[in-house]
Amino acid sequence: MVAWVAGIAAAVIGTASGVVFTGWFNSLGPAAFDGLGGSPPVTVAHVMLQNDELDLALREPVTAFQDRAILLGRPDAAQREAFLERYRAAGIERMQITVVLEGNRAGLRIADVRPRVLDSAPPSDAALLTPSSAGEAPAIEVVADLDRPVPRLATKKDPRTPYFSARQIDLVRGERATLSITATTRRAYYEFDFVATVVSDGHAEEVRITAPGGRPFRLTARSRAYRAVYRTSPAAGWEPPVVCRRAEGHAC
Amino acid sequence: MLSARGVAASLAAALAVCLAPASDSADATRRAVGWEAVWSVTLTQGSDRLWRDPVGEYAAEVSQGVVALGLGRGPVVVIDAGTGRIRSRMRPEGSGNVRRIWVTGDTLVVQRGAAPSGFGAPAYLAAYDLPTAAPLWVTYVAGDEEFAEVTPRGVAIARPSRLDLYDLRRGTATGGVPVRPGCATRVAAAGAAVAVLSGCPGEAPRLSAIDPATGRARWQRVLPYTTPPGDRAGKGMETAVQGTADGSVLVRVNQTSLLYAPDGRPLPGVLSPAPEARVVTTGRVLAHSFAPASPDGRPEAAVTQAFDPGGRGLLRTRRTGASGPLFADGRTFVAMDVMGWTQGLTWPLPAHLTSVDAVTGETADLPLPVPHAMAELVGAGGGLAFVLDPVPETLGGDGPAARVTAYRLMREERPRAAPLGAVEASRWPDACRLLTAADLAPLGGGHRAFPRTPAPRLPRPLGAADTTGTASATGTTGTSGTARMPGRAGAAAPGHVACDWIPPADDGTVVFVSVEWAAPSAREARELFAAETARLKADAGVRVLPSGRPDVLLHGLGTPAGTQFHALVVAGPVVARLMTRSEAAVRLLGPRLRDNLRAATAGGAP
Repeated sequence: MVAWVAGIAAAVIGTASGVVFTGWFNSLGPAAFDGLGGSPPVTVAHVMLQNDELDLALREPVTAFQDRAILLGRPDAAQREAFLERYRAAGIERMQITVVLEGNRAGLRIADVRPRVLDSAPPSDAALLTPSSAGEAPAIEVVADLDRPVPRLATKKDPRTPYFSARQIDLVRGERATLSITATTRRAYYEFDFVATVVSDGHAEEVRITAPGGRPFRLTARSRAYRAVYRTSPAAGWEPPVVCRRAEGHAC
Repeated sequence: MLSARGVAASLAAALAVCLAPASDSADATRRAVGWEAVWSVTLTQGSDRLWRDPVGEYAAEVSQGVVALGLGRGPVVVIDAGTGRIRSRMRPEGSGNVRRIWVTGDTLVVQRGAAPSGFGAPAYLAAYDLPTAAPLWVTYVAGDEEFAEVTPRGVAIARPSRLDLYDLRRGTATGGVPVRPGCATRVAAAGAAVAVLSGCPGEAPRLSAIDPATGRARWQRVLPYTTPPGDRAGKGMETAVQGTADGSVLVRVNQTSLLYAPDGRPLPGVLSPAPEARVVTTGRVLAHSFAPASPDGRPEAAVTQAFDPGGRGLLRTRRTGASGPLFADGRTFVAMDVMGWTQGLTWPLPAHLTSVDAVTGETADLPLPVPHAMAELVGAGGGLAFVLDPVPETLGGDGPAARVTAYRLMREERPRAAPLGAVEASRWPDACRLLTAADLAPLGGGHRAFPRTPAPRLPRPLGAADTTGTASATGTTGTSGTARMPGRAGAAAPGHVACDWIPPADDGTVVFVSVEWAAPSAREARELFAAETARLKADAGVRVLPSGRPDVLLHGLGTPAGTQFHALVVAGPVVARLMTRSEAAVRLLGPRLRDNLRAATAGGAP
């Protein structure tokens, strides 16, 4: 149903609350709290992607029967996640990423967080998954424009000034800080992550922030046309729009 | 009611661990095998419609050997927890729906009124003498902007600039604590103290435990949580606080849990980004339960963590099922469980109660003889769990009657519990065999069956990740009969309880089938079907379609994307559901599903 979209987005999107949790589950348990020697100066406590009820684009058409059964039916979460990964599902034009960082040292400073493009390609145009009830685009707080030659974080008010040029985040052990980052593109398909520069005891270290499972975040520009379009089915899963049903044999 | 239940379930957290008791060894020991109704009391309403939906408009408290229950605008009914006898009725002092009830010592306090349920009615607290039901005092609160808490040492009301304190028995003001204006103040009873959480914009939240008799702080802490610019700092943090009977405190800041011992010591910080979390203490163990929003909103990853009271070390963390309030009774935690979802509805059809032994961790997850969507767990005490539901026969009338039933966990000597707590796995029909190619031919043919798992804690069906063949005239090839797969604790689980039929073209009609329940007897299945049918017919969001058959209920359910059409059928001891986006298809296939289910269950349970 509607919720399915969210599941697709990055295998971690909420529906009722509009928030998806990723990557935190493995951190449960006592090991999560131990001050481990050799541990990074900050821990990425969790990463949330807030793409629910926003459009998603797939990079390949869905034709195999098993994959159609996932797209049109009621797969479980692991099947959905694997499907999205196989088709490199990406949010379109904008995605909100919330990162909670937790300090692992008596005192430390996060001097910089910057996006790093790992791969780029023309926008995804194979399939568009568009929910029946459109969600609201997330509010922009800190923006990462991936189309810039050197992407960086900036505030919405002043996109030309790097966010971390004037500010840093100081944390003590056990203290948590939340960053809400909106990544945007209007030109291409990107796979990316973030790199945080953390200074403690006079040393600078880099901490990588990824989507759950160590996977890259994915975002694509909107394509002028898609080879297939699916909307939320009132029953479950996805289905072609009604107009496509009537125009059988024609592209949507 | 349907949607409200769905939302409640998706947000709530719970206890539930495995399909079978945790200590599922080969030894024959006394295992929990079912919930037995000990007493049941029915509460009717007159012509003045005191409530429309009992499980949507109630407040309850179980304490001091009583179940105190308020429904809508009705009185608070005090029921003897051991016998079900109604001891007294406390009449409202004014209009307005009941919102909360506290019972402490010989005093019962009820909060009524204020939006949304009592829109327009004044909000107030009224206290009564528990043994005699005599009114003691009344004081007013400003709707949803002020928060009241009752403890054995007094009453606290958080108002915009002050925490006002009152004597529990007399209602007289005993003092107050200043509150900084413009800061969000939340309060919760924590043992004899009141936990006060104060969140001011741009500052770290502060937590203190106030003695409501003196106004003095027993302890105070600044919480280790900062919100740097660029996130929610400008909008204020979302904060909440809960307390437990022993004085422990759970603070929620922007969906993260922070736990504190009764003396203010921080407990091991478990990261739990979740829309909702709950905490309760029993048997000197603290249980912290939370359900993160899962990929599709289903409660797939509810977690319960038990902390040892002495060192407050983490005893165990369990990935669990699902839903609603969490209660403590002696050394047991009790919650209602949701196994999973199918077609947007909870699965399976009957409600399940989960009971967890705080000391041993032994878990029992067992069904009640009522549909999940109708039942609400309202409390636990004295070895009983108290469940509220509407009386099915009165639904759709002038005003449904409500029923409170006390259930006790039955134990028997047996080596292994049945999966899902009812019948052997082999008694569950294979959902992928409940429609044939001939049945589906009018939809264009060429459908292929894919088994599905509606419950994340059930093992994935064999072949679910792969194609399972093409529907044939004799059934669905490629799927075995009811597969018996090992459950988590080694108990056999039912095989293909749900199945999707996928058409050859994307614009064909997809058909979904699920086995909703395999009851011990046909009579129990019919009663469950009848109760669910009564519920659906009374639901304003459901459009019932005539089927002309008493064992087939066809209905449409509105969704943001359009209408989904369901057929709920019963045959023998089994209830099954079919769902599709096409009204014509559900009219065609509903009776076929019933016929095939009859054939599949023929010769089974009487």
